[in-house]
Amino acid sequence: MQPFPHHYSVVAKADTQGDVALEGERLPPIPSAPPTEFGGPGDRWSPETLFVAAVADCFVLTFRGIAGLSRFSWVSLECNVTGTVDRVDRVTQFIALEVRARLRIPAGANEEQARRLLAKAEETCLVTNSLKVQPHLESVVEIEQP
Amino acid sequence: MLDTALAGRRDALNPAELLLAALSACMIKGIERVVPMLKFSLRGVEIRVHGVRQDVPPRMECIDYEIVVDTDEPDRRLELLHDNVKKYGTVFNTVAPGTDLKGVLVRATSHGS
Repeated sequence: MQPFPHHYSVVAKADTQGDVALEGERLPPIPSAPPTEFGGPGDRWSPETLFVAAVADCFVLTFRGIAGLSRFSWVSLECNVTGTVDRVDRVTQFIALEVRARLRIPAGANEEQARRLLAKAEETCLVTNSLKVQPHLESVVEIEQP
Repeated sequence: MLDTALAGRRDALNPAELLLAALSACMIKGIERVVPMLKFSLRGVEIRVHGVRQDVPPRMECIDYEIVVDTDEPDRRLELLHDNVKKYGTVFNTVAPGTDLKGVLVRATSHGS
């Protein structure tokens, strides 16, 4: 890992019509459009879905990192995030983030440790730590049958 | 492609880049929404967003942006457009209270942005 602080950059480009192109150095471009809730086509990544994706991606990768450092054995993790947008004091914003994590661990793995690591991943998520709205984590740990 | 590893893939977005992508798309969406209401004439927009991640606690220490608008509108109208971007962006309004989010809206030069 490179020494901190890390720097990240993204460029968004738009003409008067059509998709917004989101670009980063060395990254494939992402076409983006407003979500259906704001009159968009619904078949593109929107600012809102990208935002929720950042939360889900960050949670999964943070867990992967923490589990690796703890030498914790696990099989798979599915993270379902729902963000709620509402208008508060005339400001439209995300007011809630529900994170539902389903972790599958091998038989014999420590279930309690699994839950602790999931909670730790939530606490140390780069993205949600950068927001005022804090996520609510619901975790399910499934143990593989031997 | 959203998958990344701690060691880092260089061809996939990481969470911080996804967040910056969401923020920049939000600002463009906001501009597209208010342009008809303001009767603001523009030919194109480009937004550059740069974030700095701190280690402990892990969070985005600051996010800077530059909105480059290709337009012939007067400067005061550029300020008005920027004010609207800051007021009505869903992701902008969610990120702003949690980190040091700041930036400028400028006119594209005649040679392009």
